[in-house]
Amino acid sequence: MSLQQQQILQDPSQPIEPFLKKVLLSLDNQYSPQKYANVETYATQFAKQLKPSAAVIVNGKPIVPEQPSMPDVKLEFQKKWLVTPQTNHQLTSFDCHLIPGTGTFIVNASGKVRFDESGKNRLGENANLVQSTTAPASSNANRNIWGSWFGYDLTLVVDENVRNNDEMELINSFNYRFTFKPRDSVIQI
Amino acid sequence: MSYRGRGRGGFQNNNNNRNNFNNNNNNNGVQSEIDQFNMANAIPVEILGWNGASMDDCVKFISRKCRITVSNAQVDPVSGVLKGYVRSMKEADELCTWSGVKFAGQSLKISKAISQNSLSNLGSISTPANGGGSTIETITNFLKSRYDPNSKLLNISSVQHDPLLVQQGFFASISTTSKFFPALMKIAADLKLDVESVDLSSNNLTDLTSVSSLAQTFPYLKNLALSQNNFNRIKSFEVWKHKLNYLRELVLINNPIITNLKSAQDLQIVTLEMMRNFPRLIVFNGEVVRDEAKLMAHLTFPFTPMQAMFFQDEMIQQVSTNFVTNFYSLWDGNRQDLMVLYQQESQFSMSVDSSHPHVIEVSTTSTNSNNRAYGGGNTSTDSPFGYYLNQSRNLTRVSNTKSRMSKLAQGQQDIFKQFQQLPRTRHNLLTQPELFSMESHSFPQLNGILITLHGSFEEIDAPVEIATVPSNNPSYNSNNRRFGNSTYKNNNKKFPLGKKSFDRTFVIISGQDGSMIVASDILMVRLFADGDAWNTTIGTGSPAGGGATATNVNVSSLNTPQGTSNVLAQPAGTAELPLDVKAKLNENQQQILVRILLETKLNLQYGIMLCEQSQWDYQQCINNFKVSVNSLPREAYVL
Repeated sequence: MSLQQQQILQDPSQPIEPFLKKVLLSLDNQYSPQKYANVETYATQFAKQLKPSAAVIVNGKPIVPEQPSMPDVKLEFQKKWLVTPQTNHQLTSFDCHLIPGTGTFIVNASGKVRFDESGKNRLGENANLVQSTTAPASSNANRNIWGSWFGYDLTLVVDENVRNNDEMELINSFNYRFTFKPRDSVIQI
Repeated sequence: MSYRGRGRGGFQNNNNNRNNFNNNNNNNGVQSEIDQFNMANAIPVEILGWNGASMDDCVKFISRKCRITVSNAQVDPVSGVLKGYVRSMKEADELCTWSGVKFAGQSLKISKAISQNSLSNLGSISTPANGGGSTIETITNFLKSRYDPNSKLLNISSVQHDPLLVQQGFFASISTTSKFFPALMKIAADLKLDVESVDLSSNNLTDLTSVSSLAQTFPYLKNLALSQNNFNRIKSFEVWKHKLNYLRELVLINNPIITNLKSAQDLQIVTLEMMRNFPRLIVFNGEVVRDEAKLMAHLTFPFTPMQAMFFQDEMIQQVSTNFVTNFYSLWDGNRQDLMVLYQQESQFSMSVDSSHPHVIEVSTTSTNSNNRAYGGGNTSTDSPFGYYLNQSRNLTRVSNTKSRMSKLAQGQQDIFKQFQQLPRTRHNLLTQPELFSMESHSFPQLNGILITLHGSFEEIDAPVEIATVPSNNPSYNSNNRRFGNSTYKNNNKKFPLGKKSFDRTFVIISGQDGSMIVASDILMVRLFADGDAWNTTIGTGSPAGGGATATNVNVSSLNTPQGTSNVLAQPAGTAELPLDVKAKLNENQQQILVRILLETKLNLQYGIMLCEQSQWDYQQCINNFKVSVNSLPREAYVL
């Protein structure tokens, strides 16, 4: 038995931190044509560990599938996340319980998140009708202008199987809530 | 006990002292003289991007790093800008060179602010004909004559030619001229003028120095005319960079900055710079510079409308609101009575998120001081989490397997022990429902319900049991590791009490005989944040998707109610109604009123009105509320 396996046996919470970080990072990934074959590839990597049947609630608003006959909450969430301004999450605290007899963890994570306030969307498109003709099309134009930090709280129900493979569809419920809104934010919530 | 520990404890326990310290505008005796001295001799500075830690921390950091003392520091409640004073212009210039320095994970933006948004300066405006009192009166009258409530326009153009002001001796000297505008803004803020547009044309302005306080007073300003002035440098507008985040239209025509332009390319440079300064600028000098619909989409978090409360269905709403109301009445009252809810396999743990963004304490003279000025307890040098840190199971910090397991309480006995080691609290679920938010849905794996509650509480007393209290070492984690759970016992150690916020997740399931069991209970404690994050749409008429109902069940069993909501042993929450109101109502009416207050978020006065007009019939109340929701004024709601 490897050291890592031994640790997991003693402390089931071990795999949760890397898993949480993966999920949050997927939400923050920035689009670039070099990195992603197309927009769909980019969008479907957001929280890919969600189950299509997951309960997803963001700021008290449930994601309701567009086609009730073929409910895919995960896809609906990813479509919405694609039109959120670029994000940057930090995980500052989390705690979890493995619930006996259910094969699931309850995870409560909290931290801070900020948004790009430059007026671009995730795909780098802006709304300007006046474009600079003098400045070279440098990376400057695509630089994010981060606003102040919001606070968030995220409650997840995650399959115990996260111990073996944290890339699979493991999330049964995803409840994301802003807990603090900075007064000087440009972003409207 | 060391000298250091005693000294700190004594200071921290003196709330009055702290409040006085924070209150820079108090006008009594010596303090007033000191203030005046400082005002006269100091140069105001403004600091942004400091809220990764407390105001005090930032001031100390500057003192350490830049060797410059920022005195009289306070936070502007509207803009969140940290304002303070340095001794001379030279110091101010030197401090500004530190702009961009990293502090608590963010870059500090430091700038000079010549304006003094304070009434204390008003009296010194020399008005030969009148004393200080009538100065305020004159400005108030001037403001009223220049404000049009219909168009929400404040016309402050050609101020120096205003006959009323000239007659009163304003603008007689440069000193009064420079003080006039900040005074005007202060009074406009006090009058709570609803302003969307400001006309500052024809005021001989060469830069924004004298009018910079406009951005603090009207951060949501939409339209601004600065035409017919003497602006000639693009850089002057940096003072307002990202401060007027809702500015939609800006007019700068007939200023050298525009009239001196030589080419279309020059105009483009100016336009782009203005777009950078004002992130929502759509129209500049009459020209549309951004696609408004597209921009709005890019700057909106698309999960709308936000709801303070979410319940998967009515049954879950009833069970979870009953549960939460009862739970907190006992949590605040006698935690021993909660133990029937926990069984051998139940789990509880508490963690501290000390770096969560939070409301910054402000001067107690702030208009919304009731909500925010909860004192410096949370920003003191002593940890505001002193009573919590030893138990904290923040797994980003507690990595050791043994510690992780030891901080997880399992079974009644362990859980009760941890409960007793947390400060005694008050959760104003009924009187301040706006401070809470909740989501609740099924947890099919156990045929139970998952409830997440977010909100705030007041610490009203130290824990019943103070077990192992860590020393003052802020790196509590290493401290825990070093000393384990055994040493540093000190039952006399007192930590400051204050307001805190929290997130708490419960998994509740049905036990035998329909009783309820808490299978899992995770509590996260953080610094105080008000309900702004979920109350943005408050007062717009949405009944907020439900709200907590106040129906109750027998607390000893916490049965899942099935048609029992009207047969209540002990109605929850009616205890929080004012006595004079209770005296006039029978028990049934009290219950209906509490339920209506919670579900509609109406204030007491309007809640009673609604109930009376609906003959104290709950369903009728809800129907009437839905009908009149759009015509109710904002004041009808708990704000």
